[in-house]
Amino acid sequence: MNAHRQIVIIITLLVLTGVSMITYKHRVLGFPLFATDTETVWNIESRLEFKALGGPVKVRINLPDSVSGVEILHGSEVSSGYDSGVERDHGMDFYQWSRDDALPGQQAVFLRNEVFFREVPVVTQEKPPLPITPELNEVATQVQKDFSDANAKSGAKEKNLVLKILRELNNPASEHLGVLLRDARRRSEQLQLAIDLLAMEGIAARMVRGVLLEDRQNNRSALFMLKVWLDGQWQLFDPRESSSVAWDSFIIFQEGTTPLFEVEGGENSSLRFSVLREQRASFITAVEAARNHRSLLVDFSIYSLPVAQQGTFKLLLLMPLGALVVVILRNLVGIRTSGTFMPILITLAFLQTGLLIGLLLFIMVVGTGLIVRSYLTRLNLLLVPRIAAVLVVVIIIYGAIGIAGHKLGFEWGLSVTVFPMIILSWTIERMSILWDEEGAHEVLIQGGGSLLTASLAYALMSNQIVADSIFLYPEALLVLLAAIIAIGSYSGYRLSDLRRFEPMERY
Amino acid sequence: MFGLASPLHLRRKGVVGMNKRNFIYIAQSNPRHLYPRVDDKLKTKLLCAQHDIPVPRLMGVCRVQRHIKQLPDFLADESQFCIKPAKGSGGKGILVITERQGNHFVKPSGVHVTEEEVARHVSNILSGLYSLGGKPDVALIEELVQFTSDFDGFSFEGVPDVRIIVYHGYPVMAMTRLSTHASDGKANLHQGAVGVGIDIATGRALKAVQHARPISEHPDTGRALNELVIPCWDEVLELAAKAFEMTELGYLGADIVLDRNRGPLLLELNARPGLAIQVANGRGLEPRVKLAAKQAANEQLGVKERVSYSREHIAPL
Repeated sequence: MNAHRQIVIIITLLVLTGVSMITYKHRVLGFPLFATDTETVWNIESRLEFKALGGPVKVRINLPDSVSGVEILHGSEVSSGYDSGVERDHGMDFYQWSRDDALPGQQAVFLRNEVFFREVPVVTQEKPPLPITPELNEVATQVQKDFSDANAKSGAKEKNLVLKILRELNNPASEHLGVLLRDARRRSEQLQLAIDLLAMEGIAARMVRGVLLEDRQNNRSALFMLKVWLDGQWQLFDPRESSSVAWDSFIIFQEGTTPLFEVEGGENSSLRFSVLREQRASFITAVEAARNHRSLLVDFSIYSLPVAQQGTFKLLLLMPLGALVVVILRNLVGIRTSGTFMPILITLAFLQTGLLIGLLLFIMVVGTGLIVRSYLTRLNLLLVPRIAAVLVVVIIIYGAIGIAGHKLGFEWGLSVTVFPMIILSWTIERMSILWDEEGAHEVLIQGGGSLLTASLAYALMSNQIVADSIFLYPEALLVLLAAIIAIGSYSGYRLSDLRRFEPMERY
Repeated sequence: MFGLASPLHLRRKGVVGMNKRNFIYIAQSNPRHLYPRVDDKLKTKLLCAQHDIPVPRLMGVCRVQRHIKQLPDFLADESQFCIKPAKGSGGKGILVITERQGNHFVKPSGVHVTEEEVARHVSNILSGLYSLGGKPDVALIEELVQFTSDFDGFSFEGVPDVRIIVYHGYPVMAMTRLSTHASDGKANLHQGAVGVGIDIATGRALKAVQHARPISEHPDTGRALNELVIPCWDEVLELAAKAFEMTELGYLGADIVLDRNRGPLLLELNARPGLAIQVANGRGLEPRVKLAAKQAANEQLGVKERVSYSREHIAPL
């Protein structure tokens, strides 16, 4: 197999692999195509306070059930001294804190949930059986029969019926239900009444508790809601407002007979919720969701690293972009640079100093270095000691710029230290030789070429969208590699060839 | 348009660009392990001696720093010589001495050089100042070439040489580089030397360029450049063609100078010859290289047969 065919095959494989991985992450894992997309994330903090009796303590908070279209992440609970984690019992998930030797007194544990919606959920799962007509006392039966007859006459639709019942429940002077409401003061009792009434109409309903998703809610207790099976799906109703509630504005923490929270070894417990709305880049939530699902592609990727190392890799992932810029400028455009990949290292320094200050510092250091180096030429030193001497001079220049800048109030002078000093020493050495042999003109061409390359690479690498996107899809590196290989086997003209062979047009 | 050539036009002419030179000619014709044969001028000299290729005589080699102390004694009786780094490239680090005045040496430009300055120059060569990658080097002390007077008026202050591109043993393109005042007596096209394309068939000048722009007269002497004819052209071509057997490099640039007494001498070889020669000739390398490659694949010819094939079949392309 000849080299050309191998190159074509490798390029095809790389592009196919890269593009299909990107497509998979986008389509299946729900990664956004560009890192600019943002989405709403609800931060729900549950704070469970109790008075410990001393001795072993076990605390549980029931966790929201997973519903398709909703991602709920648990974690970052701040509760010192407790062992904590997600536990599963009788098919229900809950978060548990336990401790063998809690001091008596007030204690608090925190659970932080992050909730975001891929789409507005439609809850059709778990179709309920037809409700059994409840056994009630005589008064209640009579009241309900009257109520039911009245409804039959008015011919209200099922949804309106639910709303009507809720409205009646909020009205203690209700014509029909007033009698029953006298015995049902508590919200849960009222809702049970509603459920019974609906059951008589053949409508299944359940009581749920949870948190209403509204921004900047603090210190709220769990709210009761009514979940009703209507038109082939569950719908939520708010008993206070007598209105229906969309599924993306309420998170259910408790349903049916499971307790909302349990405290063993404590008393006087209370659970309070705070809700905060946050708008953030959707790729962050996508990455977290994919981690939550233990997707292989994400589990064995840089996202599985600790956050600090991810930051390092985020920078490393940008290097190939700089390399691509160098390859394009050298092999397609034909710009001459001083040292092949020196511009990338300069770019890395620019990323920390900013472009203008970086350029200024570079020119200051290299310019001063060249002056000193031209004197060293006369001293007739051997090569390695000479470069070592240049290195020392470079460090002195760093110090001078830093201190002078500080004294004059230019704090940016201190950022000179991010420049790679060995590379700068070699650059000074190489430019000095170039100056002697080819003249100042060539030094300006190569120095300017290097800075132009570094500036273009900077423009690309400092772009937040580019940085986030490549972090989001590291697979794009395969496509980048394919592009570099393709340019590496390009035997056509460079832009500079077209310029230098321009006289050939006249022949 | 916009001072740029049309790529279509260049392709039609068969002009070779940098990428093609690097990717196809150099990478595929020149195995890397053969590079030292041309990159190290000392090795080249020794090889030339084995293959009976005439070169400027080697007077001595300065290999280590302590040799430098012996240098004044060694050069005591010499008034004309040339010191060059064995691994230098592009004419870097070459010191030419044409005269002696007491303890001072004189460069062709008339500048005086002291013994200490010569010693420092050699020290720089040894420490690798002029070598590729800054590696330690050795300094060659060579006899100065007694240039033929055939180039009088065609060159200013400097030494003209003939560059011949040899592809798999076949001379495919030639030019001569004439120094000018602008090039400071150096035969370096980047610095403003004049490049004159030479017809492979006849040794006569074709076109001339300076700074990649066509000219017809030498900018300093005013001589019409189309009158230039390279003497001993057959010998020059044979010398270049022989370098293929010696180096086994498929794509080769041979730099040849003409000595008044000894005739054509091989000055140095280059495994990465540049492409400006195409502008000086007004022709592209590609069709010639293709024909040479085809012919080289067809039959194994001797040096003389290859040269006559080039003059007859490759030159007209």
